Amino acid sequence: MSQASLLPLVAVTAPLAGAAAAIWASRQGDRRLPLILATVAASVSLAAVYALLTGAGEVFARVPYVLLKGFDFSVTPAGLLLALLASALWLTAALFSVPYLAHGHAAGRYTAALLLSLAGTLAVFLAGDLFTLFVGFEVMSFSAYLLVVHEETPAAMRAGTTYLFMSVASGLLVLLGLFTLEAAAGTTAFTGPSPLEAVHGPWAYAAVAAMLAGFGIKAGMVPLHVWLPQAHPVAPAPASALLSGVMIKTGAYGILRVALSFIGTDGHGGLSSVVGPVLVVMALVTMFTGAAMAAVERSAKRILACSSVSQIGYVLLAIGCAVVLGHEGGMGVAGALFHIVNHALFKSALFLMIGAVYLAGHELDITRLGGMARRMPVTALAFGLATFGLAGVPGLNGYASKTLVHDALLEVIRHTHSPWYAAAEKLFTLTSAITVFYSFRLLYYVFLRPAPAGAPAGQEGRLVRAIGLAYIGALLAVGLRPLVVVERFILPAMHEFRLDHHALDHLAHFHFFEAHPLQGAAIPLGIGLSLWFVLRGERWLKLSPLAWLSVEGLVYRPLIAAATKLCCLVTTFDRAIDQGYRNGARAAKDACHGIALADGALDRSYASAARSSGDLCRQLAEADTLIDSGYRAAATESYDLCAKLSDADHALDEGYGRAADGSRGLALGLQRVDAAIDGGYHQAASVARGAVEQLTQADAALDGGSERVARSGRRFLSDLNRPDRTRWSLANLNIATLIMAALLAALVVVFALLTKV
Amino acid sequence: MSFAGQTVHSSLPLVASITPMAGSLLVYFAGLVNDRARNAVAIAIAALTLVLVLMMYPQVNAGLILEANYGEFLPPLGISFRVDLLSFFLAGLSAFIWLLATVYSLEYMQGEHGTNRYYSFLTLTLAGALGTFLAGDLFTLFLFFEFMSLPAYILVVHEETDEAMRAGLKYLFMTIGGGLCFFFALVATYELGGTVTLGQVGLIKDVSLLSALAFVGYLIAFGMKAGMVPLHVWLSDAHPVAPSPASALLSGIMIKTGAYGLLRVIYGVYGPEFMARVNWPSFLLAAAAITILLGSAVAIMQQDIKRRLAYSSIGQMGYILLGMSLLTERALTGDIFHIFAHAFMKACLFLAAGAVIKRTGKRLIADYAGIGFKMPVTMGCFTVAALTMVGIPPLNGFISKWEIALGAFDAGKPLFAFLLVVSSLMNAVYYFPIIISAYFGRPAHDSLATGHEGSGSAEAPRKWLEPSWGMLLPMLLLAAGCFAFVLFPNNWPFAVSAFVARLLLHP
Repeated sequence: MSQASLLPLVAVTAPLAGAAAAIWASRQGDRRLPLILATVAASVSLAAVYALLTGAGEVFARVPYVLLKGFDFSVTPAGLLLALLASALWLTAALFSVPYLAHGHAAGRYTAALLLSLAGTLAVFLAGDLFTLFVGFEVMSFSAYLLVVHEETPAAMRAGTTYLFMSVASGLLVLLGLFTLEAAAGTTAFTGPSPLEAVHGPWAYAAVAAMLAGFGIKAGMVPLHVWLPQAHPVAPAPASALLSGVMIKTGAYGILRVALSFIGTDGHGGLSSVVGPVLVVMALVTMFTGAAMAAVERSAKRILACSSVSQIGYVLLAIGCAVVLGHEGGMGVAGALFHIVNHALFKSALFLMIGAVYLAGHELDITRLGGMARRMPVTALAFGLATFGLAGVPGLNGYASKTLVHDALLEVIRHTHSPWYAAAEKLFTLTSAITVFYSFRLLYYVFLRPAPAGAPAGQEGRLVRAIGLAYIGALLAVGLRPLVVVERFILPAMHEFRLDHHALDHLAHFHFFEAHPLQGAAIPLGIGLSLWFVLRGERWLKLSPLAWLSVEGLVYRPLIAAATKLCCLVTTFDRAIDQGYRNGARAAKDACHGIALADGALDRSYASAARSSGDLCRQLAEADTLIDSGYRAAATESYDLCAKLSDADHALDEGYGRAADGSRGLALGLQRVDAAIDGGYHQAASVARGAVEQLTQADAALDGGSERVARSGRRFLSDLNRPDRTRWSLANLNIATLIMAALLAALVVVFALLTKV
Repeated sequence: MSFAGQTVHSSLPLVASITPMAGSLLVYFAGLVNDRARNAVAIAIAALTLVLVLMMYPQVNAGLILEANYGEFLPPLGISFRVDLLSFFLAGLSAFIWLLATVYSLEYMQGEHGTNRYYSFLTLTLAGALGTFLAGDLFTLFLFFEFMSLPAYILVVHEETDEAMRAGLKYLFMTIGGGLCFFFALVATYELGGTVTLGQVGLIKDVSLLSALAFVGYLIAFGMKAGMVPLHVWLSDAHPVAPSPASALLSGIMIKTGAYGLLRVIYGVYGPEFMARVNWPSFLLAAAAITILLGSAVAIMQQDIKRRLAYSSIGQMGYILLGMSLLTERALTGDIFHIFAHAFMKACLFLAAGAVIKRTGKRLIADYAGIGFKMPVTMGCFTVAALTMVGIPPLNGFISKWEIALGAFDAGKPLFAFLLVVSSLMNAVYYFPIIISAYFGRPAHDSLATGHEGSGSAEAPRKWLEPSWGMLLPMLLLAAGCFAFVLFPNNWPFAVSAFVARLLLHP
């Protein structure tokens, strides 16, 4: 049963308080006081962690509400081991900083950053869930930035920027994984059921990939390591020791947590079958690349930094093997934890001792160093033992953990019978050989070879000597009695991972100094030493690594360039939107202008229409008037005409009247004429009748006369015929002939008169 | 906080909104007397307004909803107020930051032209902002929204430079366009729902062309104010040219009225169920994603500090738009919390940038080298606010990012969590260089003067350029607000956000 305890909180908050105190102290103008406070704070943390380690049972501390989820410091055994390591190393580094920073600037800032990063690191290791780990991780990353850029040289600033942005990316990638787990499971606790089980399908892979990449950046996993060889060398030596010794281990620890707590030894959902091999491959690449880089570097601190990349590869390899092996991965887990501890020990020793050398002469280029062993014997011894540890010389600490890692790899080969893993083992040996080569060369150049002209001639201080002695003791103790360490620290730390007992028992009785493991160490040592012997000349150091071949040159710079281009593009897009609005506004303005024009035209057309219609109206009015007058004239005319016609009619009427009168008169006249004629006829008739009667009388008279004439004629003829009476002559006219002629003339006159009337 | 849902009549909202309105006149006439009197009146009005808003707290906290109807005023719709926790929260936030900005202005605006005009309109816009948050119906909200936006024009063009006038013109036209869209949507809502009150969830119940058009109208009106791409173009011009305290208010509070309006529209006028059914917020979601990426990407390319901050505002408003359109409780919680958090951090950043501009005249980020030593407090505040913006735990920005991202997971859209993460990285890319340069950069002439790099110049006597407490105090308070609440066991703004989010989603 776990019990509540304040100790985890004490461990984490002591450095926080120390940081505040250090800032206050630096305001007082004291150079040493901040660092002394740092030492005190680190001691408090160390004491608290040690108390936790020796205390009974599991311990937890919760800080509810803060940041919503609250912090959960359910201390895990593995985390506790690393927390102990961290606080011990921080204490050492704080002590070492006293001489190192004696003449430096910004001691307050440095100390505060140192303590803040300790608080963050302890929070990472003491965390009981991923959330708390993440917060600690972020605090550590950001405060470590101040350590990286402490010198404020251009190189430091550049390295710092790389570090900062990769740290941000690292934190955010972890955060992505954290989001996934939290959203799916509501918890990210390391113990109990894995939150990954609640994540479905590809999202589980995505979350694991994000977390591995996030922690991988911090751990310095190739190809995410680019910040590490830049940042670690530029930091002050104590900070480098912590960066390389402990802080990158937070990344490894994170990967360990993801691999063993979340994916677990049960091989959750097939994840382990992917993650294990991937981790192994990444680890091998990291190991080899780091070692190869270290082999061509000239700056002592860069060599150490590259070596850190390589050594983290060992840790990752062990974790990868553990994942592949599942329940039987005890060797891998042990190798990882043990190598984390060992690497922390020897790498911090190396950085601190190189720091001591740097203090003596402000020189880091190994071609200009040499002979320091004579001037700084304790430093040299500590550095030498640490180098041996790095190289894996039996009897020193690195050997033990590398043996475990190697054994884990062999176990994987035994289990899987895969030729790839067998090849991996060869690469492991080769990498170890290169490690031997560069570490021996470093030792040789800096300490052992005769001092070249102009080599620094400083001495080691008392504090440095004391720290060196402490390291010598620690390195030898772990190196000579690895089994004690395994039993006392490593095995308890492994209990939380559900591992096969068989593997743990095997580990508890592991024979480090038997022929087989010794042989495993001897081969790389032999190869490495021969390499060193062949290549120890200085001219091999003139080779400079091809900058463009680096991951940074190949991947990151183009990526950053592309990202910058993208940002430019987006900015252009933004301008385009803006321009779009402007164009829209202009178009609208043009449209308004056009409308105004149209409006004017319309107005004008109305006006002209009005004008023309006015004209039309006027003309119509005129025409109307004209027509009107025409009508009026026509009316007048027709009136006149009518009047005239009427007159004429009257006249005609009158004429007719008169004519009638006339004709009546005529008729009367005619009647009278007729009557007169009739009377005349009547008179004439009566006259005629009287005449006829007279004629008849005349006729009758005439007849009686004709007969008397005819008798008188016959008598005349009878007298003519008597010879002397026949000849006519006046002489013959007798009184009878004259009476007859007068009677005839009277008849004709009467007739004429009758005829005339 | 218990939810009783009972309403109670109160004239406090009216008084709180009227006070700065009347106060602006008072400020103007006091300014005719002398500057000192005017400053005192301006501060007093802002403080009084804050007090009036805070006086609503006991009732609001008891779960009561303050209501007031003034139907006789502007009939037939009338003015009404309705103050629930969300309204109170945002109104209190506005009044508080307004007070700080006013205090800050005292020194910042000293010796500037047109200060009478500036203070009067600063006070006047407060009335608009408060009324917007306290409004009880959409019509009142519309009135106050316009009442805030239009006077803000005077603040934008205060400098009267060509640039300011151009930016102001753009602001004015877009504001008016947005207002018209709002008006259309308002009318459509009235047509569809028969009322425009905010007290009733789901005024619009049916999917129709008109209801969709109304939504688009709201989206344009409030999205424009909130700086949603592609309606953001006024923001990046208007915010940088305004005097810094006004920029702080524009970016800190005024653009939040857009977010508030959208919240009321999505969760009130239409209601969460309707929105979930028709899935219209996914358009907003897409716009939010583009807004986040575009704002951050363009911010990276800006060299002028205030322009960078303005684009950062666009990106951050993207968070808020994202949070409200995911329609999950956690996202909404983070959303409302981010309104609060962003108000604090962006106001702080603008005030800090303003302090630098006031004291050194430096606007270009390239000139910021070493400024952190000359103005440690100012740049300290800037740093805290910038880190908050990036979302580094334990600062406020982390909480909102956390909640919105988890909300994205809840909504089954984890890609938006990824988007937030990418955006955080971009925030880091454009904020960290400022900070690094401020604390570690060496101005060119300094290094020439000392001749050596290293500790020499760090120890060289430095000119102390910090402004007076009148400017520092608002910045310090705002910076403290970026993390102070996290340190208390009960994170009050977060509790409010969570409560409001629950209430909005499950009316």
